[in-house]
Amino acid sequence: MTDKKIGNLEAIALVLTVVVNHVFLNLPKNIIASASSASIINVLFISIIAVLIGYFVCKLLEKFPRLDILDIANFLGGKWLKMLTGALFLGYFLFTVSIVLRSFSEGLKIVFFPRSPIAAIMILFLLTIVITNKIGHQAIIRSNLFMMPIFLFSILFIFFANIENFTIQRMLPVLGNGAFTTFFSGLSNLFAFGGFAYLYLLPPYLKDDKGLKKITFASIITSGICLLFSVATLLFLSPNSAITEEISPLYLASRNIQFGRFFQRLDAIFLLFWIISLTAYLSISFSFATRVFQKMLNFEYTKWYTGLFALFVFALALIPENMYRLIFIEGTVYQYVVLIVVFGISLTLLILANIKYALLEKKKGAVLIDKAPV
Amino acid sequence: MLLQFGFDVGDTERIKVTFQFTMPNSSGENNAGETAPSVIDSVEAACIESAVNLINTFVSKEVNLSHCKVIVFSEEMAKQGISKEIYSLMNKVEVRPDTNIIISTTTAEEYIRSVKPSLENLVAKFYEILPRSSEYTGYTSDIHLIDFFNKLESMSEEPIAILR
Repeated sequence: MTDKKIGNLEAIALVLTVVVNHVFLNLPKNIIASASSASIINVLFISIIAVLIGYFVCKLLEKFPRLDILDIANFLGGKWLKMLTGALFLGYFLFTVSIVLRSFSEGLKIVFFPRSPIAAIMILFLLTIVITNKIGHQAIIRSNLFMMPIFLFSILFIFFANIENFTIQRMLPVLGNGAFTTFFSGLSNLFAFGGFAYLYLLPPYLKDDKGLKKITFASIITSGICLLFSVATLLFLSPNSAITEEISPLYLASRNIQFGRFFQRLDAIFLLFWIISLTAYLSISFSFATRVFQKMLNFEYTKWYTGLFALFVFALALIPENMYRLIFIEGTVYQYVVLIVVFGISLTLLILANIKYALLEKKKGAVLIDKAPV
Repeated sequence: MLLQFGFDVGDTERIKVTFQFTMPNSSGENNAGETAPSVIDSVEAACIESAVNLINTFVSKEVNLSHCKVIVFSEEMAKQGISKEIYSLMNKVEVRPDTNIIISTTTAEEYIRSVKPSLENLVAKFYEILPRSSEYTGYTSDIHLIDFFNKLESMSEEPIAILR
């Protein structure tokens, strides 16, 4: 059982993978579209809010050591609430995997394979996901940790290599479209921290039971820094009108990098890193989806239905008819799904479970829940 | 391989686009010491997309703009305004942001036909090195498409290009 546990660093990399991969897709573009020149302030603001929420989540989970959100739902409302929460998280993971898979494949198609069918590109990714899931959860998480420094470096490198092309004045006016848009409606950009979904499911898998706080803060702060650099790169580099394209804006930024006549067209190497990163992210989300499904229905094994899930994700990813539908789903629908599932319903469940725990504690004395469902 | 293309005001359509390609295998060993031959073709169309589509119908290979080094605009065209073309070029993934922008005092077609590199066999290399002479001479400047576009969008700067 011990070798199936996740170390603190592995867990941090796991939560980070969400932000990193959405940064490679359209996350910075969506933030700039909503906050305009105040994007940097908005990112700082939502990062502070995310840290506060992280602190709150850790406090709420303190009473339920080694239990994930499904066990907590079971404690709160019994089997049916557990099933419902499981279905919600399962839907969230499958939706995310399918949208990210389609979006990245569309980007690759535009850049490198304009005449290849989108399904062919997606199948290659899906095959990789199924194979990695057959190899195991631990292998995916360790590979992700191994590659994470490179993914983070690529974001920082794009920022520093483009510094000479920056126009700092693009962050003026400082409050962009106004204080209300930056701080109130800008709060919806909290969806960037969708990695919270993993935090709710991590406790049973952690080697260090008390490490959740460290993992939460380290991953949120690193995610915030990552987001800050990527948003700053785009904001300072291109006028807003140039950012509203279908291709990953960070890829477009990487195309400007050159060192003399010999080191040109470095975007190809970045794209290679991002393909690896995306595969790791999709594999992790897929793995969590299968584990949630297993826990929901008390199955003993996960491996036999990974292929079925892959087919389902493939079908789901093909639903958006065109690029504009996809951009809408990725930019707007995904945003609300994260806000509702990760920040709305999950937090409410945790708060209610804590209230129930406190009431039972008052009635009977200490209520110990030390079921370790690993 | 497409080396450069130029925009002129069209006679029958809005723009006339002139493309310069190198001949396949022109940099092989047999041609050592000789200037690599190139092919120059012009089409008239309403926009750059239509021009590329049109040229694709009568050249045997699909035109790919990703190796394009220089984009030339005639002075007449530049005076009329080239923002539409610049936006279209910026939206094309194939076109690199570091492609040089040149304004020619003659027509773009004439400029492209008259360029005969004397100290360089490879035309592609010539176009790559030429704007970089700004590093050791003050008579020219190294203006890229992305700089031109950024200045076109800026409220405080005017776009400039190399005049030849």
